[in-house]
Amino acid sequence: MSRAPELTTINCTSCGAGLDVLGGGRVVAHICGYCGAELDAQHDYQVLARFDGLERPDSPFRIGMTGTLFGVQYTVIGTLEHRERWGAQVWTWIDHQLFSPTHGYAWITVEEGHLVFTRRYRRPVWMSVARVETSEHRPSVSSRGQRYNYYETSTSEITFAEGEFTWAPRIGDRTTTVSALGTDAMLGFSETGTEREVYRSTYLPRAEAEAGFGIDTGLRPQGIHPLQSYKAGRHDRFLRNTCLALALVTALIGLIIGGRDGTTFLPEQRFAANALPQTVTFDVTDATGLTDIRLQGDVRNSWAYLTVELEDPEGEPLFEAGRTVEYYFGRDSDGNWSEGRRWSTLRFHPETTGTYTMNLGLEEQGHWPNTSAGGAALSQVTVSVAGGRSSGFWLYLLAGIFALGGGSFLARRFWHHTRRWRGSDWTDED
Amino acid sequence: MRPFNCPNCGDTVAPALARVKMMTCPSCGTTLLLGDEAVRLAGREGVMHAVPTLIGLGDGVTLGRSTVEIHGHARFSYGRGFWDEFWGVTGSGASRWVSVDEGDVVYQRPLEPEDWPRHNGHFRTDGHLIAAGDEFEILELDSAECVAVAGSFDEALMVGETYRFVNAQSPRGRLLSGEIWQGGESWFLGDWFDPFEITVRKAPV
Repeated sequence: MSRAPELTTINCTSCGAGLDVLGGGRVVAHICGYCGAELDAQHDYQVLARFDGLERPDSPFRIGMTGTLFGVQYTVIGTLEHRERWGAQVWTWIDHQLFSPTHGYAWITVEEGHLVFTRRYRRPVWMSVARVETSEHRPSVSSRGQRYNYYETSTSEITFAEGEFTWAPRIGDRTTTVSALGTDAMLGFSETGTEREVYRSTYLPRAEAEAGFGIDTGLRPQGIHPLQSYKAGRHDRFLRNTCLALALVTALIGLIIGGRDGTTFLPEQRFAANALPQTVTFDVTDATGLTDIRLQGDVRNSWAYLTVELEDPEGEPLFEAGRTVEYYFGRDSDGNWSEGRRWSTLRFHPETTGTYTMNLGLEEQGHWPNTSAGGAALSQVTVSVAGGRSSGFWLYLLAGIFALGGGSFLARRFWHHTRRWRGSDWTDED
Repeated sequence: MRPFNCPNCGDTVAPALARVKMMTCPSCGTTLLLGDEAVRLAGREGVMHAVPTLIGLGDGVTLGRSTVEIHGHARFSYGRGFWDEFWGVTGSGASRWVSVDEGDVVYQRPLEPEDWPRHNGHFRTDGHLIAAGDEFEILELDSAECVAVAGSFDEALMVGETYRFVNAQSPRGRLLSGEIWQGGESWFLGDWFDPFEITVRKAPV
């Protein structure tokens, strides 16, 4: 109910101080900022209670300030300080009751440097303390298309009150509130006597409040507030999708390039192990790509170290290298097992076409005879050479970098989500 | 209804809707009761103090999927303060009321007498009423005086007349409102709306 417009000031019936009447017709109590007397705004401002010696909390908002929030002009009409204790921890926050003749009552909360805007929510939705206490899974409610998941149950007491209020607050009054968090809003469910009240809170960016009230709040927000939804950069979505798409594309190109068969320069040649070393020649007809020398041995629960010396068409040594082929197998309580592989490759980049000479040798070998599965030392070696091949390695590496870049956007969102929910008192063991 | 001359000042008065039964003369402010054959004087329009209001005469107000054109504005006083009631019609011509009370907006339709709750005239808060197939808990009981009217209405509202009113809410959040006066009553059913969620198309100045 709107207040009759002629009522703009009163004198405190306790101390005589002049008090501005800023709220509307629903104001029930007016607490004098000078003497702490609580006056009955509905019955000739009779004194209801006295709150002496209270220390006014420090806040950037003062009673009587007028500002515009969300396109609506509000006046600060009251200040409350709340305190919540949990074990040795104490939290305090300040609520300022706001009034607009057209949009009614609202609250600005100053909490750890953050600002929150709260209004009464009249949709039929409710989450009780009893439901929270008996739920096996995190309780949730839905309203107007948004899902709100249980966040916490808190009991706070009023430690300071000044100004006009739509109910009669008392110092020491305790209220238990169940809160549930949605994407960008929180619902608070509180029950006083027979009345149930639901409030909906949203984050109020400091710059918006400062512009609306024309003040510098000097607030320095600490940490992430639960109501702060993740603010993606303007191009985050594009960058994330581009990175992930590029990761996929480069990985596919890597697969295509790395999977090319190339040209066979030397068909499979088989040698007895005891006939090594052997010299073989092969003609490189395509020097544009990579050339693979593939070595294979019939190792069974054994290993062999094969050496390769390669000379170019000019007879100059190109490289000396070696590769191990090893293969083990058996059976245990978990079933059959195997490890190692019977083949290995040597990859090089020929500088020119022509006839290359390869000396293939067996430098060392071993056998693992103590196995019931049986085994045998190397008896045969097969060698083949194919060229014109490409490696997908650098493309795979690039794909990995792109994937990390795309994943970092998802990781930031996840980190923010974790910080928002850090203050929740729900545990699945509840 | 055809245009007629105000019996008080003689100026031409043109009701916008045929169903209008009461309106204030735009020239002299006299409240006029529009009968089938005659126009009667019904007193002054009262003093509508200029205060910021969400809705005004001639505005188009969209609440959810419904839009209503505002034709009448009545103000009710409860002593220390007041609230506003706006009467209008939807695009299909249905009569609707929009109650605006310090940011609480209720969009209501009049109930036909067969849908009214049965009662003995004695109400108490926490009591229950059955109406329109729903159960409502009485939240508020009070009386109020109509202190000002402006525009036109499809029922007669008398400045200076006192009404008892009853507000009751269902578990689904619907609001049942009753107005009781000497010799009559009216009941309305509606829903709460957040003032941030309604759209007001202001009438051209």
